Amino acid sequence: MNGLNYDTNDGIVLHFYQHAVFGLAHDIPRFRQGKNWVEQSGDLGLWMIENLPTKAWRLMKEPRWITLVLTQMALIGMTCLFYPKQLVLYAKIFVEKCPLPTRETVKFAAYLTIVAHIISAALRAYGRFRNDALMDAWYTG
Amino acid sequence: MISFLTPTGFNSFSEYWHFASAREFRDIDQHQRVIYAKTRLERLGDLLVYPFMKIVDHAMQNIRNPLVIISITLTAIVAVTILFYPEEFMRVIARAIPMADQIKPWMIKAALYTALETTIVGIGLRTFGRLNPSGDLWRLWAPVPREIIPIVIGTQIV
Repeated sequence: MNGLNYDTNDGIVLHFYQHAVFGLAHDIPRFRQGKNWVEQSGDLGLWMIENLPTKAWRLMKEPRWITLVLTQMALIGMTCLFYPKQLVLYAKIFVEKCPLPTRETVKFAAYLTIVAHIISAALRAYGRFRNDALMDAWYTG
Repeated sequence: MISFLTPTGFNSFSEYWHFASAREFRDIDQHQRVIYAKTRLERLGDLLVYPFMKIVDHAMQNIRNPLVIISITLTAIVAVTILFYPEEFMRVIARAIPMADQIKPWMIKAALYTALETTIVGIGLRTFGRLNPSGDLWRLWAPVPREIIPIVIGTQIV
């Protein structure tokens, strides 16, 4: 099986796209080729954006989680119905007392996260490109 | 008969709701109430929802009884009157029962609020207890085809 139907006559844009798919795709046909440690470390770094949404979605469908959320919603809803002013007051106090991160901290954390993911993607791509057996199988079929 | 289930054990939210709000469970083949060892959480939840569930269950089972219809109607009228005219309502009640004068509207509100919150917590705890994967009920519920069915509150078994 040829992964991308690679043709040397194709244009540079298509080649770049094919290399990008090979290097960055979450899952590619392995042709019985294992992963080297570089690719594995890249996978680890990309776990959060690739697997976390699936895990979170699975958790959201978990009946016990649904029970907890629904109970909380019902309790807060009832409080809102009976004591709306007090609820707003305590919510404001909670937000004021809650140690929220500063804007700079959020910005820096976002920057670090993005850089870490870029490095992880690069590691995965490099790991795959240096895997000669996988490269041969992928491009020549 | 349910031929397949999602990994969560429920095919729909409606099914989950029936499971959570069920008064009891019955065996499909033997047509008998399923006796199982309840988890601690379920027992605690049962205790908290008992007053509310007992009243609602009894009222629903006897819904065709004229006395029950009258009492439900009166309760609804009183509830609406309290909602619209709480002070006037208390004044009228205080004239009939002098002791009632000591009861302030905020007390009734707080009592109602506490009762409702307790019931909600009870339903939550009971459902959480029922969903325990190592619990007896879940072992009976999870296999396919399912052999037990939830009996909704207020159902009369004949």
